[in-house]
Amino acid sequence: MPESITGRPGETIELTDVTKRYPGQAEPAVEAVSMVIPAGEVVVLVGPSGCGKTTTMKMINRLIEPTSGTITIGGTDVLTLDPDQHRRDIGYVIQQIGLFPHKRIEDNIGLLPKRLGWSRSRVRARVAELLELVGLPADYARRYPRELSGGQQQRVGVARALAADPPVMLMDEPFGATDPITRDHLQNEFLRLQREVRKTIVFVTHDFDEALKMGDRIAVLRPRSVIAQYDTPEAILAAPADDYVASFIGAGGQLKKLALLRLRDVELAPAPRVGGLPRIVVDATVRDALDLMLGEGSDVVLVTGDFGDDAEVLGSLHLQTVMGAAAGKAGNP
Amino acid sequence: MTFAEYVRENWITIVNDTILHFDVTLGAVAIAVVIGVGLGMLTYRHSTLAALATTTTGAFLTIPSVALLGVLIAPFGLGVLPVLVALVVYALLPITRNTIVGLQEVDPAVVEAGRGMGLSRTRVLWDLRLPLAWPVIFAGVRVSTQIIIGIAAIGAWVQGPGLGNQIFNGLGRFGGANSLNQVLTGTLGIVVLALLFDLALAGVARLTTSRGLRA
Repeated sequence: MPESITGRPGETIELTDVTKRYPGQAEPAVEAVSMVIPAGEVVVLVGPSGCGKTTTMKMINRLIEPTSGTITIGGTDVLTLDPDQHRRDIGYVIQQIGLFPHKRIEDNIGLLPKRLGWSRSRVRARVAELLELVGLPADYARRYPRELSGGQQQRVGVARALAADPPVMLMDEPFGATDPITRDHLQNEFLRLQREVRKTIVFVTHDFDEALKMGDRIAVLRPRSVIAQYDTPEAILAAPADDYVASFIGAGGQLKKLALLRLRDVELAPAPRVGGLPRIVVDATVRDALDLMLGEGSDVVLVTGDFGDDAEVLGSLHLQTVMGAAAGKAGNP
Repeated sequence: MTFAEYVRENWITIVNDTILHFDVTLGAVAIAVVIGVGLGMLTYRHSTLAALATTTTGAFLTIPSVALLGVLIAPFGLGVLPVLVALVVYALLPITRNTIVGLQEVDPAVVEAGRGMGLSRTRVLWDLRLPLAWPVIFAGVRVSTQIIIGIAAIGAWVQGPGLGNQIFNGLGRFGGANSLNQVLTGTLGIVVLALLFDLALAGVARLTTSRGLRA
């Protein structure tokens, strides 16, 4: 089907000297921001509340109109487009989710495709496909939002944003309102999903750890959305531009580096023949492995392909390797 | 003659009056819904206009019904028309006010999500705000109905239709044969009609409200 999930790949977003001034305020809310958000990447805007990160994001889909500057997506100046038409090409996910409570899940997800004139059968197929993609059972299509938990609702929110297969997604603290365990689940699922869909994603958060986890690149913002540093998570951890950025990283920078490193990217030792060793899934991070080692009092863990006791063992990880990884020697993140 | 005998002998007139009473109330509520919901949709976004709409329709409700009906004789003559107009005027406040409140109190996140996916303001109003405000609006419709079903009785004073005729006939020759029975019939008829009407409206509310909004 042409409308398959990986249909439209991401497009590059470019902001040039984008400024937002509200009348009657001396300081601009956003001052002369310029940045390139490469196609297919997740760029996280991180900064304290009130720094203008959400304003910056909302200027991309023009829920807030910039006072000056230009914004292009895939080379097209978005300010020349009809705002409603423009927004139909941008997925939008917000912290409060904003599902339509009077509509069934299928109608929440299918609303935009229907308005775009898709046939009934195509909409139904798309809804089924998206529910599967975000890990919800197919029969949830007939439910109403209030019959879902918060985490499930946000999955629907993500599915709804992907419905018309937009090249660009804007996500404003999408997992901010969920409990830590659900948030971790949603983050992991979202990263898995993004590996499939390869959209260009602008992700706003005030949580630096979330930024490290989610971002291909991170823009650390000062007040008025002034960019303090814009780089990969690894580069920011290795060399924070200044004290402001360093204060965001906070304590435990080494552990945070380990949290960026997936076990699948680390060279594993062959599995020892002894039984009873703690097991960890290859999707987990080196930090998770270290945590397991400390918790179990073992300096070696088995890395498995999947959850469960009968999952295939891919190899083992030793404490020595973890320490090497912290020093930046192991793996190729 | 006992009350029961009176009802038994005059049941055709009584049923007739009841149906007419129901008709004029339903007609007035229907017109008031169109005007009140329309007024609410036009004003809910501007706090001054919204306040103006509520105060004006609120002021209508304070006009004594006899005075309003009397004034309406000049343009509309006697009969059903002045009664209908007066009832519409009295029904406006609850419907208008509940429409404004209902539309204003829709979860801003829902509106933002709608705008963010490229729905126009008009589409957001019709597809999101109105259906979500509907239970509140309909609560206003029910209050309006209860208010005007009683006032409709006064309509008999300008030769309007309905159970008011029983009451006015009885009062006009109070002490005469069956006069008390007439007043009782009119009054009890209106009370029973009001109860049944509200029951029916509760059913309509249930049918017209999305299952996703029911608690």
